[in-house]
Amino acid sequence: MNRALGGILLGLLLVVPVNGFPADVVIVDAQRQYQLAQTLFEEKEFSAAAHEYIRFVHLFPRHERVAMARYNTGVAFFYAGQLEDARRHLQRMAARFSDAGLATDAMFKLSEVHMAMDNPGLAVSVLRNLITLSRNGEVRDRACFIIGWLLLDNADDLKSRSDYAVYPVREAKKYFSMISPEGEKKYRMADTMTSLNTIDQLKQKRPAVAGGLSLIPGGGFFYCERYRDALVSFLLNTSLMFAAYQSFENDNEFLGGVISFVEAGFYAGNVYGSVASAHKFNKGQKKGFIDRLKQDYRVNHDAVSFQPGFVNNGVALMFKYDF
Amino acid sequence: MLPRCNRFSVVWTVLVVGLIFASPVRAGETDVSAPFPGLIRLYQDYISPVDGHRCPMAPSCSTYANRCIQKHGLLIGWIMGLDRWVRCGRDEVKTASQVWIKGKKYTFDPVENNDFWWSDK
Repeated sequence: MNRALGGILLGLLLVVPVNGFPADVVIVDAQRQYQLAQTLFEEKEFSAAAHEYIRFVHLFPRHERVAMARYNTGVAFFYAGQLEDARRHLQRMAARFSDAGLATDAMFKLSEVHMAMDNPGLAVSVLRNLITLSRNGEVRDRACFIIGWLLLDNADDLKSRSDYAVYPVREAKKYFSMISPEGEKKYRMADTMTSLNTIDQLKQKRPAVAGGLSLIPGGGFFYCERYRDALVSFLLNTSLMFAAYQSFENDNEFLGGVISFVEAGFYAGNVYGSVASAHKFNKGQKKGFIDRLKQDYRVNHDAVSFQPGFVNNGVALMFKYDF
Repeated sequence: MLPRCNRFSVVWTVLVVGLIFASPVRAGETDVSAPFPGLIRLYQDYISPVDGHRCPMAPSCSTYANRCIQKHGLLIGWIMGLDRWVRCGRDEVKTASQVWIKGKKYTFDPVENNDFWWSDK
């Protein structure tokens, strides 16, 4: 009896399949994993997309799309606003530079990341390296063009940083002049350079003159075309000087001292404000000039739009320039 | 023996110089217990709410002065603060960029816009 029961149980065990629910098994192949990352990217789920690209690289390290996935990881982190992660991934790609691979694009993107991280000096350094490393004329032209505009856009910022002690406008002209004749046509460099050469003719205010004129309260502001500031500064300073004088005249030394102390601050503020106004005037003039130049001649390289996707079962990247 | 008015002038000068140079506030520090920042806080906490917020600049003049003192020390901060007070709401409105804060338009004039030509900080 017991043998018969044992035999039945054994029979049941052999008959019932071990894997009873085959539909639950998920097989992740390279195509599906990559597609998932792409889909997330297209849906603007950039952070999730970046992590799926990382998973793809981890699971299929020898796949032909690994380089593209690595690049996409950096780009996805960039759009997700995770700039440090973007920098790390793109830097790794840029370190293995070759003209044929995606390293060129990685370096362009890396410069954008540095810009987004408010580090124009590093952005310029990356592009300079690219110019040194690349033998591709188009890449070098594009790098020169972007460096030129980066320097113009961030002229004051770069000039004030001790680690980048160059004259940015002159440097920008240097990089623009390095663009090949073909690139010059593409980027309309002749017109840009003609306009850029007129930057020295901009109306400027000399800070030393503003400071000197401010010895008469308001004089510096007047020189810098700040007429209301000049009037207020003149009235305030002369009134306080007169009040202090009157106080001392009337043997009221305490009041005279207090007023003199306050007036000394206003007077120094008038000198400081005048010199600062001259610097601000010059900065504003330059900024206005560069903005106009940008509006007239700049190819919108910032609007490089990245569109990863599959084209005829292959992978394609599209860079779009708005002219 | 000094005459009375001269004695007073000496005392006053020592007081002023002491206030400026012996202050614990130096560039980069944020000690609001120092005389001037303390007065500014007093103004911001007790006078400004009653007087009403009318400064058309961002940051406001008192905040600007406080930041100048924290960034550059008492002497330069005091000078920059008074310079701002003269410029407040006048020609700066035409030249500086505008920002919207809580539905109200202000003239953006941070410390960096006024010390960029000599300070790297």
